[in-house]
Amino acid sequence: MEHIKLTIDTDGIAFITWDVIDSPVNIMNEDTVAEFFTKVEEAVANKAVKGVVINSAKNDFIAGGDLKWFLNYDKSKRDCFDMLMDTHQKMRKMETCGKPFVAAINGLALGGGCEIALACHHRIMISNPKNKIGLVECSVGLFPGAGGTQRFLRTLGIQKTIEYITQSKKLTAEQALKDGIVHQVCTPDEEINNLAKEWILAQKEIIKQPWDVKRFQVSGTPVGIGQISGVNEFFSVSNAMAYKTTHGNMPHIKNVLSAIYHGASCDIDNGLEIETRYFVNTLFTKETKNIIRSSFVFIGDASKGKAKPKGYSKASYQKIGVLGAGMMGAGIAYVTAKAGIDVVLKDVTVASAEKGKEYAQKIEEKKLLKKRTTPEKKAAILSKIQPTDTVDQLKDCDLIIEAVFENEQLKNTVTKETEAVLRENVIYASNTSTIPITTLAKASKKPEKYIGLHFFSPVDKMPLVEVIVGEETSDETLAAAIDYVTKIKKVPIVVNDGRGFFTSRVFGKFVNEGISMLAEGVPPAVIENTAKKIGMPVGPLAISDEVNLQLMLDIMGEDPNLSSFEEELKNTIATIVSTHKRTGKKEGKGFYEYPENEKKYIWKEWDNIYPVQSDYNEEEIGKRLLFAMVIDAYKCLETGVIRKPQDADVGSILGLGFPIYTGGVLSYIDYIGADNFANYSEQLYQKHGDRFNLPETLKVKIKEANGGRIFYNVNHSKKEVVC
Amino acid sequence: MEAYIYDSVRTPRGIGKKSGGLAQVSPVQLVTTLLGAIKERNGLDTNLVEDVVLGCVTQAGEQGGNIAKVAAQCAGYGDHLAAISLNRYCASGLEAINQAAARIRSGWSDLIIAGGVESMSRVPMGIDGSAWVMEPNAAFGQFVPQGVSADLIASKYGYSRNDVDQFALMSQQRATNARAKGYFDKSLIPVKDINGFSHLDQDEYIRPNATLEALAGLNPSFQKMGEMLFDQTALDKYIDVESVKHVHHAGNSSGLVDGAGIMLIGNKEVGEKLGLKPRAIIKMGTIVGSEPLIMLEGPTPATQKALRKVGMNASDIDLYEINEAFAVVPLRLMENLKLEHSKVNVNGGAIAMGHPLGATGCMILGTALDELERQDKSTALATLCVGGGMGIATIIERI
Repeated sequence: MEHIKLTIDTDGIAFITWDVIDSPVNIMNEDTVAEFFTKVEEAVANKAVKGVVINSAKNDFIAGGDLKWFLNYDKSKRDCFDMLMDTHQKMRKMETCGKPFVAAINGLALGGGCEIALACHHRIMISNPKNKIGLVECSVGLFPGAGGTQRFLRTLGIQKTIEYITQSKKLTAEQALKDGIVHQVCTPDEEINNLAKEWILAQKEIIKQPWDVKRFQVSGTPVGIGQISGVNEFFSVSNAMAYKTTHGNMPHIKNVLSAIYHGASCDIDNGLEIETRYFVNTLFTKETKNIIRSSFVFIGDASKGKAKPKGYSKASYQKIGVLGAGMMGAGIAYVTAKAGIDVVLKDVTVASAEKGKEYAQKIEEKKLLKKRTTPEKKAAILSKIQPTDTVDQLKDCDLIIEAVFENEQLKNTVTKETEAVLRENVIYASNTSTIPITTLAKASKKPEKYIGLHFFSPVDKMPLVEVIVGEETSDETLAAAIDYVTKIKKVPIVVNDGRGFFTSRVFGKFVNEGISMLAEGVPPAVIENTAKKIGMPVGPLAISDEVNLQLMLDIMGEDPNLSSFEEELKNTIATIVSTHKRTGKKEGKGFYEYPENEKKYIWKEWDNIYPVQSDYNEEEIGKRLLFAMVIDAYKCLETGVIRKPQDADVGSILGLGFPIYTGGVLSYIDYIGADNFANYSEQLYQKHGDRFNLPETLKVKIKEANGGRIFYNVNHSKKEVVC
Repeated sequence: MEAYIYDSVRTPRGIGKKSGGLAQVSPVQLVTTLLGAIKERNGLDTNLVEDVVLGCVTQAGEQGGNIAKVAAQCAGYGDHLAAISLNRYCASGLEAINQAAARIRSGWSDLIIAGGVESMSRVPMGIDGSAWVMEPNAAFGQFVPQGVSADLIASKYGYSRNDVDQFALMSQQRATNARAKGYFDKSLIPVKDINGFSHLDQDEYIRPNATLEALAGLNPSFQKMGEMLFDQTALDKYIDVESVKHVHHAGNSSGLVDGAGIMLIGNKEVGEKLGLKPRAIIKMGTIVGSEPLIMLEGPTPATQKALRKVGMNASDIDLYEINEAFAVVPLRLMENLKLEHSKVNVNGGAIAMGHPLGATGCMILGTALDELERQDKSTALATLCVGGGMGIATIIERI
């Protein structure tokens, strides 16, 4: 059994064909890479071989490296360095052996796949909108480590290299041709392997890569000349831009900029070594491991519906009903129609239902303007949304999603009215964000079919859906709901019923902590800036203004189980609302002022209302904001609101913008070190009260871990090897 | 041993554009003009001059490769004359003076010409590149352009757009007055062509008709780049600042100009030998580092250090020259040291006359010396904020 085959035809053309066994795509890992280079060596050594075509027997070329291999990499830094340098040498051999190499790119060529192609002298790509080539490693916390940074640099110059790599850009065949990443484009009907062969047979002289030609220079360099070449400005801009988007929290971004910067003034071999130095450093950072684990493994698993209970066949959906055509209902209707499912969008009047459909129309029109869709596709999606005001239209739906106004009585009325026309066994889901599902299910004839599907706003952009399981919701219902969520390409996490479910509840702690700090006299700018600096997308005060303080007060008022800290906070918010008349953005007066046509700014009076303390501690402010969420997320896990720590991490990253470099809200504990977490919590508990007192079970876990990880303890027995 | 200033000369400042009054003149020619003038007006025996120490910031192209030595050679002082070009960013011209003075005081040298040169029209600022800007490890999260730093200072300490514009207007009015009354003439050497025809004989950057209204109408220079790129870096470091208010613009920041300035510095004996009368003693020169992102806060600690080292109080100094890199810089020092505006930049500054990077330090010290003599006062202090986060200060005292 082999993953990669070498065949040599009668004209002396060798074909090295990727066809990884038991995998839908060609993936690069220790085994396949080793086998590939064995075949390369064989072809190079064979005197009968005139040239080599690298191709794929699958629909795609090579999809990239196996991230789990990197995630679980347990050898030393030195081993990693040696391995990568060995790979570089073998790829350099392809380039310099004198025999022409051609990449026949029949489908996706991403990451390592793109890098193998770049080491070929000639690259032919089949034109097809689905075919893309690119270096996408930065999107998972890494960067190209098989020569991609240096070969891009020498093909595209500095500016595009930084742009394409840091943004993980995927190019179509035509774009790649324009940039010189591929040399030749063919149609799907043409025989790409024959074209590759023809090209080899047409070569009269020994072929070299451009960077192996004497006096080759990376365009826009040498770096030392600075502004004359535009390099000074360009690096200045890219450094600032990368910092602005990462706040310096993502080591892989700074490292890839360094690999490109330093590589630009070297020859190719030194450049490859530079890449390796920074790659090794990156791979061994906690941040990169966290990003790979959470984005690739956890979010990847969740989006495939791994949370689905076992033993249920795949539910299929032809038609779903959405009740309420407000912003949420309209968004849900749109993403459902986009997945090819018919939608009945019901509201009290046809006009309101039509308005909900307009939402889809507007988004599609914008996409059309940007050429991201075609008039046909747009028409197809819109034709799937059927606005109505009659409940009868829902009778043949496979699933109902209720997204009416957040009012228990109204929701109950709608439940009864709708159930009356539905077929047996139809799942009824509520998009409620506050009312417990178990409570709402009481109005249903079939509470086992009643479930929560909590979407986030704006629905078309936010990937997360909390699937809320009520006391009586059946596993079958849950399984079918997860099938729906994955069908519309959203990421489901399973959450058991409880006040605020998971994300809203945990996010509330962040907001509470921010408001509490303001009341203590921490300058509001410090609170907001610190939140952003640690990687939260928005500060707690700005987000409170979006949510609205009056609404927050109402929600707190309904909660019978407020802690003393929360009671005190409720009083603070009540004073802010009633005495200072500050409620939020809607009224133009919240923690911020909202002048017309101007940027919002923090209301100046806070300094007088809550006299400023100048001896604030930046680290403590950041930690309080994060710890408040982390401890509450752990309580969710402990009390069964969430079922697995993975769900908390995925939910926190996709639902609340918890910084991904930490791995997510529970991974955070291991990110900063469980012992360190426990010690700092203790300090915060002494200084700021009960909410920072860790639950006993967590204290025990941390103690038992004995300096090790408490979650995802894959390599528990192995001590980390660092050279 | 003391270091004495025997003479001080400078060129006029030409607008630092391709159309400027000194754009036809190379930076080497600017320096040789001054070397010729200082020789002639002092009847200088050039055999006694040991070294030329010149500040120059953008040492690339015709300012590259030790421009001081090229100028020394072209000036015809003799082959014995050594020369060095140094770069301490905007402090270069004053750093040259301080280093020369220190060497005289140590006894290692007897007579040195020190100063600086910059032709910003011919050798644009920044073309030499900088790791500070480019290299990720140096720049990432640490570098913002000077203009953003100046705006950050204004935002942090609450200087309004009107505050900085008012200061800028005063600079124009004072410079206009000083030029009209000939206060600069003592040191000013017209730059002439090969026929002896004048290229430029007065500072040409001054805007005598500047008004507060006109200044208020100018667009901030650093807002766009700040909002697109650099403000976030600034706010992550200065978390107590809510947002960077961009108050600086072309009218309240220093102008890009061409020019050079030099001084003749020596010990007592060499002056006697040459028959020259010393004009002032260089009492102290100090340099400090300061936080590089906000960058421009060096003048306060540099000034405090200089005063402390000579046992003086801020109020003991008769005249201050604080380089007007951006209006907020002198405003900040005036506030920190409680200086009266009537003692500071009495003949205007770089906002009105321009800031030829490598030359300015020497020029403002020369301006202070001329003004001390005109007002018959005793001590002056010159200070500049410096790129990368530094501050420099020099105290002189008339004989």
